[in-house]
Amino acid sequence: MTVALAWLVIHVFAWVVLAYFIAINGIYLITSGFAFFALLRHARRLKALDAAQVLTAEIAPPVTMLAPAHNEATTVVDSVRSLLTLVYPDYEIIVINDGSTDETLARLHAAYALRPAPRQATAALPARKVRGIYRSASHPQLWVIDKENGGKADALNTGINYCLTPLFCAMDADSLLERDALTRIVRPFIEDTRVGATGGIIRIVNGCTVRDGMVRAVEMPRRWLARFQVMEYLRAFLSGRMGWDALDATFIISGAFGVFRRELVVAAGGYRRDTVGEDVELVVRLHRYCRERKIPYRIGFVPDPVAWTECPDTFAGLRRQRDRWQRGLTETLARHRVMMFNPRYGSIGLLAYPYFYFLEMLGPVIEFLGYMVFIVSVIGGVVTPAYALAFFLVAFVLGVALSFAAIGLEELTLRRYPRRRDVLMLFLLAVLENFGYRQLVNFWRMQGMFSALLRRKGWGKMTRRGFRIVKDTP
Amino acid sequence: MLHDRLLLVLALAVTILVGLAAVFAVAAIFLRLRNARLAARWAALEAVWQPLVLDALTGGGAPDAVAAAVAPADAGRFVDYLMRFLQRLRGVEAQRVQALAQPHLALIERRVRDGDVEQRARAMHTLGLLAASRYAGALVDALRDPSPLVAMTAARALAATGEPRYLPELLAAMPGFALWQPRYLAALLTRGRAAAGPRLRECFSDERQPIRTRLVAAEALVMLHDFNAADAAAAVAAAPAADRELRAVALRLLAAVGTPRQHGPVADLLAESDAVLRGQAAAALGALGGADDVPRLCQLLDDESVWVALQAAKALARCGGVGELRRLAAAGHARADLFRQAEAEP
Repeated sequence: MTVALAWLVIHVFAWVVLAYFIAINGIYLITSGFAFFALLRHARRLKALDAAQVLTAEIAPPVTMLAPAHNEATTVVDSVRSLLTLVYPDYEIIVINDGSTDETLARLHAAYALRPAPRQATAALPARKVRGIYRSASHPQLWVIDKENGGKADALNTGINYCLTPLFCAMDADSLLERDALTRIVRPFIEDTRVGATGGIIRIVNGCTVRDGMVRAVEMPRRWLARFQVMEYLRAFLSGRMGWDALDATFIISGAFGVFRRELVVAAGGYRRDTVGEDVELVVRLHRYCRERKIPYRIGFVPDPVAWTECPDTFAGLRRQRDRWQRGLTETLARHRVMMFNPRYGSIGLLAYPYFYFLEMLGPVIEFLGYMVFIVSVIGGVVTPAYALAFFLVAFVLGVALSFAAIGLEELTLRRYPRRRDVLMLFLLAVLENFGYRQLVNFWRMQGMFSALLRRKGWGKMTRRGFRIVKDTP
Repeated sequence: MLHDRLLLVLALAVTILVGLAAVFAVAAIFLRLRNARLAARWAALEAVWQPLVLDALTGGGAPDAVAAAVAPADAGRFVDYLMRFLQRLRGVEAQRVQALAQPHLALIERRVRDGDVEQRARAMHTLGLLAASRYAGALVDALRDPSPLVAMTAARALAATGEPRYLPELLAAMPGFALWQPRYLAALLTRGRAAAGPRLRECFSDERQPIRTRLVAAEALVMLHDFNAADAAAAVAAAPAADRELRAVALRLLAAVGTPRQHGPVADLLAESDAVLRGQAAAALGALGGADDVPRLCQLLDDESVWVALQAAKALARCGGVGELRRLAAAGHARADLFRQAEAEP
């Protein structure tokens, strides 16, 4: 009797797992559908408005680029050079050296002729002590703030404290922005004064040709681990974020590239320093802050401004990254539980929050247990191999269809991969990622969730290879 | 039995999903091939058009030769191609580009009537750049289009003509652009340069006008550095009942064009309860004031708002108060960095 009950439980759980697969991928397909129409409309709107002409020197709001840097000696000089070439009428750059123990500060000093300069803090967001403030003698728009180590959120708070412009752009120190990225991501603030924050699209620079701080040729990475992430990012941004934006439920703005209204972020308390998911936590809190005070606002995603970033191409690096992302998401969702199914928070509370809670946060656990259940079920003869295969195929094919949809969205609008073989590679990746990569990432995400519950801290370490090594052809 | 039924359901689901995946794959491949084919076709067409268009622009080639090289089906693409030239050309060459586009505008005109929102907006934009005079009526009508996108493209097209006669229509349309940044809207109104001044001043001073419209007019006057608006700006800034944002822009206008006659009302506003207005008044006093204003500006250095203190410090630097800033910084004032920063700025 007990054995029969156990098998019944296993059987039921197997269907729960299938329902989870269908739900998460089904929602992704729905958001892909919204994304399709939104991308079409966006491209046609840009053409109608002649978007390049919208932002002129006399109306462009000044922007401060905030680039936190911790032990970025290998890439920081190139990254800053890239920032200095942005096409935007009025902006300055603040690199926040977050207690680096390598030569980050020394390399900036040498490359940009830094001199001590006075600068008044305009806010008092919590942050560690500032040790020195420098301004470049060769590039006066470049400032460097040297501070005690406190983490990325702490560094960003420091940057915001010294920000004098109405908008700031939060980014990673090694993000490579396309030259018109800032113009494109600021445009929504011109069209709608309610806009509080916008996020751009992040693409993977591994395998691309980078020269003088600019991506000159787009190619797929050579390493399979990075290749799988290219496919993931396409799905996440084109199907996911574009779709959620169409539902007015943008839940995440990537910490690698997002623009925010300084005044709003300061009023909401800045970045929280007690989470590794400071980027998602801030966006969720901004939603909460504005809705609770009935402040008209909009937080959105724009698909045309592009920032390139290096992704981890080792198992250890990817594990640490996914563990951290899941920890950050878990911490954020736990902190803002009040939003769950709460109509006070509109589409965020009714749609986005439950999705991220049940499917993105709990999903890896369900999926992992599902694999275990299937193995036990097949071995125990509860289900036939054909039955198990059919189960697996439903989840597998749905995932592949979703990836194919993302490739279609890429070809519809952005078309960044000029080589045919790279597009064919994307199709191959869409299939292959289901045989090991997806399972591995989900396992790490599951670890991340439990780490959050056990309150483990820290970012871990990613080894930067540097853009010079990515590939450089004359 | 149940097991078999469930298996059948799963098999059916797999079949449907495989079909769905195939549809997406085919669509992606189709898009790829289509885009490549279109890109090649446009490149070939533009290679044919370019020498003909360049000849016509330099006055050496006949427009008829260009028209003959454009098939009816390619008219829309040709017009888009000509638009790229207009972004870089002015004067006689721009007029020649517009002349080359004339035979093909009927297609664009149809889109104004029959197209969807984005098509109509793009059509408005195109007609505005290529034949604003001919289609002025349609553009003015489009200012009242229910689609904000269409209305805005029409407004931009009318503004781009630089002709002051469209200013009243543009001002009347401002309430429909309530979400747009005021400075962006103001930039549209300043295309007519100084000729727009009188109408903008009138709007700015007219209390019957919507606040938003007056705000945009004021921003435009700042951009134009309209010295004749100084008295009106002083009156608005000094009116306690006036809208706060309007008063703030009025102060920025005074900072740009104020004269000693407005010094008194501006100085009085340093005592305003609103920090934004205090800050803007300090900035304006920096432009209008002199050494006599140093003591009152020094009082604002300890303002509860660091932004007001920053404006006051900058104003002090302009009014000959640099010595006072250095003295306070040397004495270890809590805002010493701010004073040094204000002194260092150009």
